[in-house]
Amino acid sequence: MVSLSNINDLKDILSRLSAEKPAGLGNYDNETKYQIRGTDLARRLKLEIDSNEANARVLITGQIGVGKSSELRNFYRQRIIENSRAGYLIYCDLEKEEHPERCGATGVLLSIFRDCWGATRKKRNHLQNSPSHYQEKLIKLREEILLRLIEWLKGSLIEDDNKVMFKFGGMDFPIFLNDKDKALSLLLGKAAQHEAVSTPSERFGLVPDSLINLLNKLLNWFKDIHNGKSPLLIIDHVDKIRDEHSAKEVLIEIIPHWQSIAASVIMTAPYEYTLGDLRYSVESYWGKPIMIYPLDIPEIDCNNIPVIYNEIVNSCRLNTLITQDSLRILAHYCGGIPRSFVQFLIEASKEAHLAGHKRIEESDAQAIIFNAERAYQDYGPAEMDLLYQIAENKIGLNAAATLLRSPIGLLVLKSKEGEQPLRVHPLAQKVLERYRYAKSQEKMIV
Amino acid sequence: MSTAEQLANSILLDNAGVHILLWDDQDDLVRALVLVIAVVGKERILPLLLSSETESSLVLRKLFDIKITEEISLTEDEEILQPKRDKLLLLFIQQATSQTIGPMLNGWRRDLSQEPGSLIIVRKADFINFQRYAPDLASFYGPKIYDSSSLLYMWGETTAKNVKPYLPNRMFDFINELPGEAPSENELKEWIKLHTPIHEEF
Repeated sequence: MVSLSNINDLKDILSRLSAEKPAGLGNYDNETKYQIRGTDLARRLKLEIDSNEANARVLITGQIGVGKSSELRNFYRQRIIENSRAGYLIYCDLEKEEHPERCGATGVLLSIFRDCWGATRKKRNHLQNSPSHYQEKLIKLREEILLRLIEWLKGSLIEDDNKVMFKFGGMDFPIFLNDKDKALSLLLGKAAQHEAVSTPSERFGLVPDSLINLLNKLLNWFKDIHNGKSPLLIIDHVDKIRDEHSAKEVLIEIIPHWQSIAASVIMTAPYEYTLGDLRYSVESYWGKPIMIYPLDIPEIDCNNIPVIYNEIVNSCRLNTLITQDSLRILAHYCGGIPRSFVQFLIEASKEAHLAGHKRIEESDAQAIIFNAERAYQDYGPAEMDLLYQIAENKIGLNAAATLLRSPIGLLVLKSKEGEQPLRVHPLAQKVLERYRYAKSQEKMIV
Repeated sequence: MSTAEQLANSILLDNAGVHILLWDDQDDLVRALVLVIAVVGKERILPLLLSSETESSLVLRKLFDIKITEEISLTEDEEILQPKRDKLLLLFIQQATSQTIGPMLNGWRRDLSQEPGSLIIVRKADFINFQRYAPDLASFYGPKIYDSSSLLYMWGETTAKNVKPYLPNRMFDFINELPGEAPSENELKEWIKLHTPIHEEF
């Protein structure tokens, strides 16, 4: 019989969960299986793309851990299955080989270029029996891109032009040109990474128009081999740009570049920069971002637990190893944030194992919630006051950027009857109650 | 209430991910670390002190900038051919540096969480700032927050065999850079003596 006190059973369950990677088909180790959330996201995206040939520009946003990447990846998979005659899909991941914290516009555009070029390699394997001019065109394009990049990144050709030496962050970086496909992949990858991680003074400056033209030629190559349909770029992890200047540059300042790109674009955006002062500038070009909301939150004293929580538990085979009370506690305190729920399941399973329990008991679940509440105990007076004001008045989201990010103090829930409900995160509730009490005591003294 | 041994076992079980260890008093911090080392093994730990943005950025870039897909096959550059990280990163965050170090670590969160994971050591008073400047990292560690002042100090027989009344040299140097005073070897010896190991049933 399966038991959490058995280390092998525990390891088997943990191998079916990951709070850090997007949910997938569940075919790999450490991957949570994707569960359908019953939103209209896929339909809305499909409508945008199908009604705007090469011109759809969509931003996807939502709080940290709410499932943006999981939803986008699911959309990507579904689109491939359902719509083979649509434009080619290219998944660009800003986090693939760099960290996007301060990544500016050039880093984003180079990452797109890198992943588009990467996609040609996959595509060429399927083109063996197609007319040779597709291949020839691509080789010609590759030469043009390489030359332009060497020039822009100030590379020096050496050893009879078989090697190019670049300087990235003050370090020599040689690239051999004996295999030009790989050389271009490496150069685009390294340049994108350099732009993301280096200080602004070390960067190469904005991508020149000539490179955007070459990117468009590449996108048009995909269009030619795909029934004349423009490709669709899905650009993930742009929402991880936390530096305000960089976010502004990517979302607003390079709008002319976005306008000229010959593909439809679906891109994630940092939630806090689609609010407040930047909202109108962002929405005037991108339109209103599509928001991904937290899951329904079961109340702690209510028997109904939304189905999706049970489905996640079933998918990792924890269903016989967790009591309903424990499940309700974990589902309630995750605040509808799927990443938190998966984290709670992982930690509660370990807690049960270390306590010698066969299944997750209420005490194991409570221990995890106690640890998680630790993150809220250090909220400063300014944040507490803000949380208090918003909890009382239900407005003022603009000023609450820090409360919307982890540790999430404030949840923005799906609108009902035209109102945008705000809710204090269940984990922040206790600390807010203490603050309310202290405030009421203060008033009494006055 | 967790024990320091549980923190270490949790790190070993996960073999990935980011854990946070909060501290206020060096006595508690050193005791927690002595037990983490006893469970994980000092040869499987890489300690680093992050105290300035520039220096830390260089260290982490060297550690993580290794993954351009084509790099290994093309550059023939020994520097780049670094092996996969095989040590648990123990990152000491210097006091009052969260504003500069936080955003940097936020960007590196995926690398930090990769096998075999990281343990980030932050002073309690800095924790709110640390979270504010590293929100995505905060969403990665979630409930994996341990407070050295409220950990229970009891351990099993296996840990008792490996526990030493001192920290490895490099880690000791880092502790000395942090505010406060570390307990002496004699104090730690006495403390270890006072704790009879718990009989391990499984």
